[in-house]
Amino acid sequence: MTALTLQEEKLKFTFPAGWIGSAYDTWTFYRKQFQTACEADHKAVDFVVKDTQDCLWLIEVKDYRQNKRTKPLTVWGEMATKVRDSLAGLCATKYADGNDRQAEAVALLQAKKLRVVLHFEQPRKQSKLFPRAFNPENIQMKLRNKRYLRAIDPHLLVVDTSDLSKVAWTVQSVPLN
Amino acid sequence: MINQLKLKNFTVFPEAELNFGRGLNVIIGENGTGKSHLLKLAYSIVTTLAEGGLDKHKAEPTKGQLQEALALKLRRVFMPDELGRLATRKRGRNRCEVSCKFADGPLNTEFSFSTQSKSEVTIETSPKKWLEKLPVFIPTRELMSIYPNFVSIYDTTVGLELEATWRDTCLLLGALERRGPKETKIKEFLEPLEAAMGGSVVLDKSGRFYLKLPSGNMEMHLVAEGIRKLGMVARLIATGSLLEKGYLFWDEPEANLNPKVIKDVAKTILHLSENGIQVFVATHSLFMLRELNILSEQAEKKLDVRYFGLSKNSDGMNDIEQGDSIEDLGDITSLDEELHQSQRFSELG
Repeated sequence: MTALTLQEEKLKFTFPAGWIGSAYDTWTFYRKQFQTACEADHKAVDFVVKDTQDCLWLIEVKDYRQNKRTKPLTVWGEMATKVRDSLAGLCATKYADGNDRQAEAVALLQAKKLRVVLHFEQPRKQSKLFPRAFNPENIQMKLRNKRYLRAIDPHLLVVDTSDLSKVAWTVQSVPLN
Repeated sequence: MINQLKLKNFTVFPEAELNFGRGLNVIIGENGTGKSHLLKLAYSIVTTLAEGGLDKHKAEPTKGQLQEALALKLRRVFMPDELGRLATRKRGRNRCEVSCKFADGPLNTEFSFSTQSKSEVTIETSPKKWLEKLPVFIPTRELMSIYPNFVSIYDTTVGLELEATWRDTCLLLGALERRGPKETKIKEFLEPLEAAMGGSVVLDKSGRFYLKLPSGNMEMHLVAEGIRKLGMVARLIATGSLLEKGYLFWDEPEANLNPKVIKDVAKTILHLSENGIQVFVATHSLFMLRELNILSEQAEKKLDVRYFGLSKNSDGMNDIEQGDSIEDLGDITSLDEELHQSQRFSELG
């Protein structure tokens, strides 16, 4: 059985054997139909994958090593919106007859548990006062708050390539230009 | 133990119901949201019930006694121009109502007063007995250095613009050290504090506090402020005020302390709450919150910790959120400010 690999920008994710899933924001149904549904500009997490224990993982990847953040939204505000919209999108994909990802959505939504992970590669800029621009614990604490994603995953994780001990997959940096 | 505090029209709170835990109660909120008001109100009630019990010949409380005693305590602790200033202002008269419920039902106390009240509250429910022990209030500044003669000066000077909590706590600091069967327990409590301070607290015959170091005694004025705060707690343990059952109200324990001492203070707070003291802490510090969180997670026995988040809503009124975990609260200002600071830093070129 080949391992599932997914790439986002310069980061390659390799999931254990038996995991299924894909890059959700590339789904045609999402891009052509769901993204602008309900008069909204829906957002999407990068990967939706299901492990062999029937747990669905929504994974958002932020890689600020090269490009500095320019969006006016906060990282945590954007993340919360993406998770909410992706869950709605997955559900819609499951029930929209004849779309290209219906079978995959059905399989993913057979999961019995749901976990959310933000893979957050820090900006390279650092100083004595800011050994890391963001303290990942701060973002994790914010996202676990009830105003953000507590109702969806109270144990949400914020990780990066320096410590992936709490997740089952590996992440490799594709050489930066 | 206080189970519940219900307020209506009290200072910045149009309406509030706080359900406390028997261990540690952490109150979070930015300036002006009423953290200290909550601590001071609960303290005023508890200490009034305990002061009445100091006279062993006194019968059970009466409404007549309490209506003046509670009003006087509130005025001395909050220091408003008049008692009625503590009732939320609005056009015409307004009435403030306070209900304090204890695990020990006969202590339940309910009272009210209006924006016109000067020196009396109306007792709606009178407690049936007195509390046995005086509570402790630790204000934001340390008191060891102002201790000498402070109580005498406070009690004999008219119009002194100082909160009664300072006077009350100085009174407790001057109590005699406990001797007898409790000494072993006290020693066990004091050990980590004395290790952090590098010495022990002594009250000299001159009425001044010193830190007893291996090299000799050092005047408290010469000791770092953080150590003086730990010294206060050590002294209050040695005198039995913070031993076994009791109440501790601590306003911004992190004030003027460096993170190293905040760690020691957090340990002390947890230790006290694990040992029968109901602790109420108002804090701004994310570092303190995290220390308390780490220590309570590490504790062998699950600790009873309650969190209260105070904020102003869009109408400018005060809201209270509460729960058993920090995630039950809404936005935490100190966390948000750190995150926004990170965001600003990451946007630098």
